[in-house]
Amino acid sequence: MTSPSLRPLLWCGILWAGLTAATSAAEFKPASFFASHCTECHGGDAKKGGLDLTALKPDFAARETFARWEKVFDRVARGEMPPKKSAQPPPAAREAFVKSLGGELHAISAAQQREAGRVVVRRMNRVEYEQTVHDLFGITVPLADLLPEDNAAAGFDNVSSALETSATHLVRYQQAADRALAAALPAWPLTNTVRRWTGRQFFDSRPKPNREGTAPFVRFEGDTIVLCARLYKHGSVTTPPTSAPGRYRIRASVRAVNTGGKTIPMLVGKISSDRFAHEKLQHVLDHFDVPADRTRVIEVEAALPAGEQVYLEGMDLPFFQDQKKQRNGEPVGDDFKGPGLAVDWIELEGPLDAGLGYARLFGDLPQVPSRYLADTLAGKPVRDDWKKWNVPGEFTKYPLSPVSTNAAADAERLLRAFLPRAFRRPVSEETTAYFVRFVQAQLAAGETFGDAMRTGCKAALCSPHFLLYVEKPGRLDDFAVAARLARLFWNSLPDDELTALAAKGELTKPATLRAQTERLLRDPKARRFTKGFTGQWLDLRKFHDMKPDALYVEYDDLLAWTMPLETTRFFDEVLTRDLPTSTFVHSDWTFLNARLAQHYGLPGVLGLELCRVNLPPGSRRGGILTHASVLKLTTNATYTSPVKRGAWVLERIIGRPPPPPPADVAAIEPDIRGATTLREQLDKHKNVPVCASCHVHIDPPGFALESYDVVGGWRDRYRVKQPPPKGGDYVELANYPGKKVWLARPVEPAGEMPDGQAFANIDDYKRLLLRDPDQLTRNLAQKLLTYATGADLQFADRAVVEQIVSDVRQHNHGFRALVHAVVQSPLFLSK
Amino acid sequence: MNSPYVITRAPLSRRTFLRGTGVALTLPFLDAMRPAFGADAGKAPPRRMVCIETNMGILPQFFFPEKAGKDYAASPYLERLAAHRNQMTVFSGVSHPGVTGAHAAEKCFITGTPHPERGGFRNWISLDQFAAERVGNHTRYPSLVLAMSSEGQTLSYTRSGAPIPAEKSPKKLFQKLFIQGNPKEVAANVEAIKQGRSLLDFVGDQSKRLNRSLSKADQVRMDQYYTSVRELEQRLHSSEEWEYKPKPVVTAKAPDDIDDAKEFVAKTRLMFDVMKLALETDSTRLISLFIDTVVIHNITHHGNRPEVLGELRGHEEKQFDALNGFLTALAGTKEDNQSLLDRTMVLYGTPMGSANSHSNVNLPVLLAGGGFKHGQHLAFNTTNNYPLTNLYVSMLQRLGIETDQFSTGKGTLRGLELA
Repeated sequence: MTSPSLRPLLWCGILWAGLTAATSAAEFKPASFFASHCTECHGGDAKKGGLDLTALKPDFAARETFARWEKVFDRVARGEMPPKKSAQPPPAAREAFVKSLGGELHAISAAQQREAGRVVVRRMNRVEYEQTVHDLFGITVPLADLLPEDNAAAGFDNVSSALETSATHLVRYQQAADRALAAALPAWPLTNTVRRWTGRQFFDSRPKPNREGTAPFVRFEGDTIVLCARLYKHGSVTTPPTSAPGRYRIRASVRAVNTGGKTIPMLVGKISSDRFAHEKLQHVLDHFDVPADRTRVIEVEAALPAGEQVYLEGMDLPFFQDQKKQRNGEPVGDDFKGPGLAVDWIELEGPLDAGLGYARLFGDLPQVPSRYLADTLAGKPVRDDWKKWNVPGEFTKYPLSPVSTNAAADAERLLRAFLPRAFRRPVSEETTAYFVRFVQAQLAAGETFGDAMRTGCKAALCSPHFLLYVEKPGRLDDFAVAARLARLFWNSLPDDELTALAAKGELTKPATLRAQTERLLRDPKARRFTKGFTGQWLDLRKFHDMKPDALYVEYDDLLAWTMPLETTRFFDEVLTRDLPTSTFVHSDWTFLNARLAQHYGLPGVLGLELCRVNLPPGSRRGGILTHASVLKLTTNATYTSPVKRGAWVLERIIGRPPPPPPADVAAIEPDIRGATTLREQLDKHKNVPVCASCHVHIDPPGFALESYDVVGGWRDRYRVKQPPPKGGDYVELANYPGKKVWLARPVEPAGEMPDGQAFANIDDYKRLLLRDPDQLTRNLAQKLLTYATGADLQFADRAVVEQIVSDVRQHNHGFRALVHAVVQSPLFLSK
Repeated sequence: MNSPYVITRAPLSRRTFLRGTGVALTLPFLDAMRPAFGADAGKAPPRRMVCIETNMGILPQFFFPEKAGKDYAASPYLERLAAHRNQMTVFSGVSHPGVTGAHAAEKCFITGTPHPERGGFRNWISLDQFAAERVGNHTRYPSLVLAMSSEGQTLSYTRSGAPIPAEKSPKKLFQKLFIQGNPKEVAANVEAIKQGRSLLDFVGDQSKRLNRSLSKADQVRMDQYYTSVRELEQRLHSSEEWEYKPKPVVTAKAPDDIDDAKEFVAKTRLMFDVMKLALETDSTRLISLFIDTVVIHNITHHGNRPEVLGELRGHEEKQFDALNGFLTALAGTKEDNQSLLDRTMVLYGTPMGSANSHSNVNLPVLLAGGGFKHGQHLAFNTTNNYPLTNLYVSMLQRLGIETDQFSTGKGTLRGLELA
């Protein structure tokens, strides 16, 4: 990285140059600068790196030429070219060249943006589609799985340039709309109900063979059931089954008994999950620490399919088969003194959004089973008390159908209410009339009112007005800003408050914008922002992709569940408390539960629920670079690669992605028998100039992180499967007594920064990274802007980014301040 | 369109034939239909293409034979395919120019698009879709996109670079191909298609109106949207016609899907069985199959440890046995005076030359059947690879498509001649 002091000067220069760009078009003459300092290598016969500066014309209109000039600009501005060992141009000459070239690039880029905007019309990606339709109708059925995977650009899957449409998409959008409408308009009456059963009622509800199977391991205290062993899902306490898919709230009153005051960790999970989902821990809803000294009511919200049940499992209790052996098949009696998980009652509430879908489309029109539709319309009385029918029962043959005595008028009225919400802005008379005519054509063809409206709604969900974010070049109107805000923080459509402010034209007032950003961030739906952003910025989405090699005996489900949570909780904390962006590089705290603390070798953390913990000195943890989750997903789950981790750090944390490797580099065949170290094999990077130019940047973070193994544990020596030819030791793992592994060669984490500064280990390395807080903020600003606007950064955006960095610097580089600065920036508020 | 093997020739439709004889046709469908279209004997026979990728590599030391030419000694893996030696060509020293990125290359096996690991990557149209655009209209399904996987991977990509979701369930595929809906269901399907078409009309119209108020750059993107609408309309039009034609009847029973992801070879065999039926009944002539062996990913990083290599070899040999089963089934099915294998190109390979090192050069690839002069090992330069995409040009020409270019392939593959 160049010396921090030079950069503000450079950027101010460029800003200024940009403002006067209009007059300087004729003044950019690189020839003499190139001749004096560049063409010896990059011209004539040499053409090092394939670059011939004598042939590079200032034809900035062509995209590829522009990109080359941008590269030239960056290399010279950062002092990377001419290379260190060559003669350097005098500072004034370099500055003049950079200013003048920067001015050109900025002017061209800005003109393009004025004409066409930064973001080409963007379609919703599949995550946004699913979430938007879910929120629109209050449903939870999976929809994203029907849609083709989205391509990513600039590291995010919501970037417009990568989101193209194909005929396949259109087929799938129709299927997705069908599935969504079937869930939104259930065939039978659905209401939000609360069903609670006591421990005893739960037990009595089970079929006899299950009761008999479970009985030896449970006892009762009144109506409270006490589980004395760890049972399979169906044997543990469960909720009643759900009646329909939707969002549910599960609550239970629990207590640990006979544990001598210790808490019992408890898992809350979904019963039905296939083996593959189980591998990715998709059955787990949450873990709780159940206290011994008092009753605790736990609560979990989850999206559940129909017929699903949620179960509670006491984790520290003996496995039931073991207990059976121990007790010689003797059932636990009422006087059993062993530990147990007492469940007073368990409750299922939901579907929480029952009726929302119907109300959104049909307002308060009544419904009757299709069998009675004609009679009801004719005014004839219906004798059958169909509200008492069993569910699903007759409703499958005669689903509920809305009753409209004035179909044409009702269709228009309802569409006028529905379309602006779905399209996220007021809808023109022409478009509304168009949809009304479409629905009327269905009616004329003999469809029922309900079916005609459903088809109209399906057409709306496949319409470009719904699927695309249409924006006009220049400053965005309030509705477009509302749509961007809702998409950024909730992956969804604006709610009523945002829409009302947009309608009044007040949304883009800075104070209102700030207040709304705060409101959206504080809403529970903002967890979607954490998930979407960290999932891609830090690759957390890929966390469960690969299971570590069996060599890593310490890796288990509980660790796999906790590791990504440490990172998302950490991110939320930095965001909530407006901590400096440098916290991501180093912090003296993190989020731990007992399991992760054990993995890190840190004592004194109890229970499974994660909490913020201060890190003792010498912990070797702090900041996300040392999170086990990040350390695991930057490997291939079998061995570590300094190059892979190094490139990740450059791209994600420092914001200086390395260029791709040359085509003729042979991949390394790793020899993990422990005979040669990776350092020895990668030696070429240092000694061959064409490799060194990039690897001088890539390797240092990779080497520093070699102190952490494939599952993020600290290591001083490499672990191997078999005893190495020499120098190996069979040793107990420091944090896992009783687990022994073979250790071979020592890890060498020392290295050198590109500017020559040496470091001995990860702590040294982090300290060196922290020398340039501006760059850390700049990187996050760039990532947030790309994610928030759906477009990669262009040259004219650099000036805006610098302004943001400068503003946020005044707020101690606070991350929340950065988010606000992004929302208030012209890049977010313009197309 | 004048193939005698296609049931679109309405006057002599299968339904008429069925009604006339009152007999449900069983396999082999193709030969049984021949007499009805005897007048067309002598026209070009139908050609098929099956592209298969196993994504986590094939151990090169057990695949590549040492000698080049016709007298090569079969390697251990090729030995499993010994019965079909004269019906296949083995390649070495081939890869896709510019396709790097280790696992990222798995989405480029039949597209050949360079640099899939780079940000902003957009894939090109895949070989099977390119062919489907030109010759897919002969069959009910222009192509079948399949996968043996638990994730959403696919080999096939549209012209706009969108991945086409693959069918992963052999059971569902069988039902789709062979289970005939009753007349009410058929009527409902036709109705659904008609509705789909009217909805598309509506949507297409909206996008045209919307287009008028957009900036030029946006209009280009909207144009793509509108093109997708029109493409889909054409597809639906064709689907509607096919709804009226009864599906082929087969004596085989629907397979039961295997749930255990570890049984990836058994799952592959199931899929091969249904694929063979699909080809046999001319339900399609173009198939892509993505085989995901992630369940053994860890041992593909063998680090040259002998016991791991041994375990991996065991799995891969079973994969070759499954392939052998598929080729044998095709070879044993008659069509006119040839076998189905003679008329079906089967491409089998992997995107990584060495999964251990994630290298993407020197790819283990073979081509069986289809009507080429096989029985040889074509050895190209292992330090300066020959483009595999040239093989794809040869394959397209074998399908009767006039082109001398596909993806990065600028001509047919040297040394491979049509039979």
